[in-house]
Amino acid sequence: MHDLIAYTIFGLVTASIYAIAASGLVVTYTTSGVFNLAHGATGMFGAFVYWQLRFAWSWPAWLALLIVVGVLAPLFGCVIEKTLMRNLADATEATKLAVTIGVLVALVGAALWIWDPQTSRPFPAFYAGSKVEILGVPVTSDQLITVGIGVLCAVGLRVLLYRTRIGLDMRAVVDDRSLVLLNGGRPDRASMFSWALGSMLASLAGILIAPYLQLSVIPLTLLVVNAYAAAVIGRLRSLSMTVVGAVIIGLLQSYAVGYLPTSTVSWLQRLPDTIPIIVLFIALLVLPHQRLRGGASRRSREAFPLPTYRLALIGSAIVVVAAIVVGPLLGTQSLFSMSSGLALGIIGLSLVPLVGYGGQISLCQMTYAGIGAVVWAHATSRGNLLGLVLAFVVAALVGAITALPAIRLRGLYLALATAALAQFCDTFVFGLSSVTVFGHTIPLFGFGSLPASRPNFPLLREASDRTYFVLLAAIFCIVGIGIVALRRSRYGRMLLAMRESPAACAMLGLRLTTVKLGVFSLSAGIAGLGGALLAGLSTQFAPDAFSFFQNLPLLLLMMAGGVAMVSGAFFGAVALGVFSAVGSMSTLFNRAASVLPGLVGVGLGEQPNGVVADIAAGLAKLGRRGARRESAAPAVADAEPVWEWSGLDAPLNKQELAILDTALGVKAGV
Amino acid sequence: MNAPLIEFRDITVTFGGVTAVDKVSMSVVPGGIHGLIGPNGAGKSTLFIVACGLVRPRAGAVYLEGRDVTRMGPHRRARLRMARTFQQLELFGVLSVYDNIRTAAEIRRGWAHDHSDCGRDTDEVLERTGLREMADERADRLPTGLARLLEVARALVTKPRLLLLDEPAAGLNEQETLALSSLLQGLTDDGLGIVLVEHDMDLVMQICRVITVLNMGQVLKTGNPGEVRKDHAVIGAYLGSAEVSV
Amino acid sequence: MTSSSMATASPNGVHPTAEPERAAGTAGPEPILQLSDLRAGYGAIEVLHGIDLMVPAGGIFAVLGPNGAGKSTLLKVLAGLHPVSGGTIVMAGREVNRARPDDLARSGLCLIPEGRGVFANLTVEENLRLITHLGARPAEIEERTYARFPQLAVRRKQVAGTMSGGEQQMLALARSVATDPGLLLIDELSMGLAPRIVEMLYELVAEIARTGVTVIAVEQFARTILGIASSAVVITTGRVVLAGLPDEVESKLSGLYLGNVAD
Repeated sequence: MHDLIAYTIFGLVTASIYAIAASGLVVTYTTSGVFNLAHGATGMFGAFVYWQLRFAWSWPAWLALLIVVGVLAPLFGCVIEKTLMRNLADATEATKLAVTIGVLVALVGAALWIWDPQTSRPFPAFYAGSKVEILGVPVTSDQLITVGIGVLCAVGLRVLLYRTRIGLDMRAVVDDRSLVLLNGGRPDRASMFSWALGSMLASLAGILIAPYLQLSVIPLTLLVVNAYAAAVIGRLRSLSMTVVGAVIIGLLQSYAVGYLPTSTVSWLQRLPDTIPIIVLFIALLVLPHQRLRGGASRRSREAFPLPTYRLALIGSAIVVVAAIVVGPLLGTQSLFSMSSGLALGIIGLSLVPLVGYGGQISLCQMTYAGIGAVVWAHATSRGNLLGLVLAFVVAALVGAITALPAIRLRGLYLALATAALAQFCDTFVFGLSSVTVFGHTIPLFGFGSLPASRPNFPLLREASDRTYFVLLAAIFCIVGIGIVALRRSRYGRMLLAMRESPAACAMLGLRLTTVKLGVFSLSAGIAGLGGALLAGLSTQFAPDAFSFFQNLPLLLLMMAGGVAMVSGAFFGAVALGVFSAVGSMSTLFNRAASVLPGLVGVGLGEQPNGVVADIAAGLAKLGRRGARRESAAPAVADAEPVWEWSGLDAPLNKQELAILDTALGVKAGV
Repeated sequence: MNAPLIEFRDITVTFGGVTAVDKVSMSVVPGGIHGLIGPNGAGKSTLFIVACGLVRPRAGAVYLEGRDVTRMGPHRRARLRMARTFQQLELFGVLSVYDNIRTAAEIRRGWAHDHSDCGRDTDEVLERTGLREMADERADRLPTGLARLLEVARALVTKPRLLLLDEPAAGLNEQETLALSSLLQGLTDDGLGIVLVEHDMDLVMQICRVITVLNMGQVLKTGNPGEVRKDHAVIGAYLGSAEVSV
Repeated sequence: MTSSSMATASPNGVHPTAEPERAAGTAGPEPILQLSDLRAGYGAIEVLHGIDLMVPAGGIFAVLGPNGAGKSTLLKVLAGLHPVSGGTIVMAGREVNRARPDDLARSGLCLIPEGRGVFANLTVEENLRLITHLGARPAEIEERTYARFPQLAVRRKQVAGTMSGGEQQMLALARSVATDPGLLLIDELSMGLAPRIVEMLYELVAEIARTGVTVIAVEQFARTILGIASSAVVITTGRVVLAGLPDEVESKLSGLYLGNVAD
């Protein structure tokens, strides 16, 4: 009984923090329509700034708190809204996500730059030490304060939304944005306020949780995944359900820590950490989704040239020759950086059919790559090429299995589900050293890392670093040509057709689930191959290289290059290599380099097609200048809500009917 | 072969407690154009998506050539030789006109397993619809008239027996409407059955053999164009007169 | 910025009463709204193919036409919610082609959009309180509104979405009156409502018009609106096909709506 109360109290403490973070997320999303993946990063940054003021400069706690939560965080929110998010109203879901991922990566980079991660930074809790007894259980004062602040925030938000003028404005914007305009209201102001409020809540949550997590960048940033789970339980809309969700997750997690036999069953050890992720996944699958706004089917005016074999072959020849020429000029460190850029580029190529052609969003390609790498490490210690085939096949299978539940999701929800998957593998699966089934111990991910060999190609056994660099370039080109062939094939056209109009495809007799499943496994397979090659480069599998976070710069740079084109992936690969090489030159550059992918992602708001498409369009324009006038297509946005295809093969369920209700204009009569 | 191409039996659809379609029965026979008209909110679009399988009716049944398809998803109905066009153009924007049609032909071959030549099918449809000259144009660069025609062409290449057209004349100019009308009439001569939801009443009255008028979710009148035009209840429904009996 | 310059140049916007010198300067009443060759569409689909229209100040101007004719698009374009792709809109003597909807609203234009002109998740009271950009206190606005629409006073704490369709439209009308508009655009007030309710609502509209507000009402169901309108036009497939006095228009409607059977 005593234990139960203690665990319940601790669960409520965590729940309070999750609730604060999740409410901020929900307020921002409903009011502005942008789901802020950088919410956790904002909290992380807030916690660091607080540490700087409070402990490095020894300001009083109340002043530091006031400055961070009351001044800096809302200011940051306003600036982000004004400069970035406001322009995203008509952007695709992928672009919106990419811009917030850009902010996330930039904040993480900046934090690593400013606060050297090697130094330890003690972060004592508020008034740590003093205790009171509740029902015979000693409770520290910081726990009480945290729960108190959580309750205060919930009540405060309620009062703000229902008792104040700005709250009324925000609710009106959530209800019907264009009607607010028609009334002479200014929805942008409500949006900006919601971003300010979201940042305040995020930083508050960050400061509150830092004492329990230690002050380190990545765990604090990814904490937001736990908040996602609570927010999804509130269907990204209801604040009260979000709080309920936070309490469920907090308690479950606390009880799991208390009651799972983690000390005797080794594989259970890291399970409690994954509870929020599991809850998120289940919530995504079980809860009905009301898609509030935005359509993945929004038409874009992107350039979309059909790649030719001729161009692909010429390009490949240039790349391989360049690799042969450049290789000897690079120092050991730069060579390694550029090689890893190419290997990551191969993983990035997996995004071309999936995101570029198929229009799906995935944040777990590095996870598939990790699985490929593990398979490769176990399959062969002598670099047998069949190991690569096995890495491809196993990763593709895992891709198919994991995609199966996620396949009915689209856009934001698909992104969240794949992120949850990546996080799950990151915190749980990749940490399993082995599993024992019926007395047989199957080795899995080892302790820390696994040795891996480099693939032995005929005539090129035991490749040196330089040879391997050229090999990677060649493999990149071969995979690239394969993707060009795919694009030119029946299947490639079908993928594009599905991206452009799932509804039309279904009405032509196409089974969408099969096509989606197919492209997910193909893409996972390519990522697995890339992962195996990446492991070969460093001759080991280290889970860190395949963590959830690694997905983010990869996705950003691929999108920056142009995710619908093989050349875009090459741009991304070179950029990754160069950033990493620049980073290795000096510590100053190192720190700056980690901010760069974030800045690139932030720029995606302005240039969603990627640079390669823009360069190509520019060249094409130069080429035919004077010959033909650009067709003066009126810049008309699709303001009319197009009726949304549910993406299902089966008829609609009740919730989806409710959406149709509004879309078809069937109005309640008298 | 006496079964109608598509038959609705006592279809009722409700959205959130509001009845959009109320016990509607209607059947469409091969070789003619069946018009489906009615004022805003009459239930035309609802009946249309019920036919496609995008919404399952609360009560009643849908039959395709005598087969109960009420619980079948859209792609399976398409495989029973039913095709449709979209009012809000649903073309494959980044693909060329040729590839739009060809992809549809390839999707068809994927489920029909009949080794037909997709290239030749595409060429035939291009000829028939007069889109040959535009074959290399990107679909999202087409003007409305041609885009609507491409919607029809893409549906045709799947060799349907029943074609559902959702406002195919919206945004067309007079010549384009004329061309569309002769294309549709030519298609019915080959035995195709067409359901036409359209606001251009001149077109509807000219080319339809039978017209069903819906109002407030119910069938108000079924008959040939002459009968429908003179019907007082129909005129009342369109002009909002209070004497309409529902 | 066209919008901001417009707002500063005309603090009184389209209020006809606010500009006495204009009526004195010209012979006839200047139109409150003049459209020349107005074009608009969705992507590649042009919906309005060049609308020419002159709406005189005062009275109710009915815009009729079958569904799909482009009537709602016309109103959205006028309210600044949908971009113009060609032609000009001149409102009270000023070109407002690119004005923002909130600026237009602040200068006296009010649109009640089709089907739902209320914030369904807010209470009646909150719906009314949103209108404070005119400087009036919320309590004042509520007081005036309830005096005019006593039915709403009873419902002040009710969430708007849970009221009947007729009451929702009444609230939409009440809110638009509270903004003190010069030009009121109404889109399909009758949508989904029983004929009796529609008549009651149009009586309210006629009352609003008598206070000097110019009303442009889009309707598919013509008879009720023609009973109170001072002039009317018919739009089919994005073009004005008929304009005139209500009686003239009514006699020709059936043919325009249901088409002509060849022979």
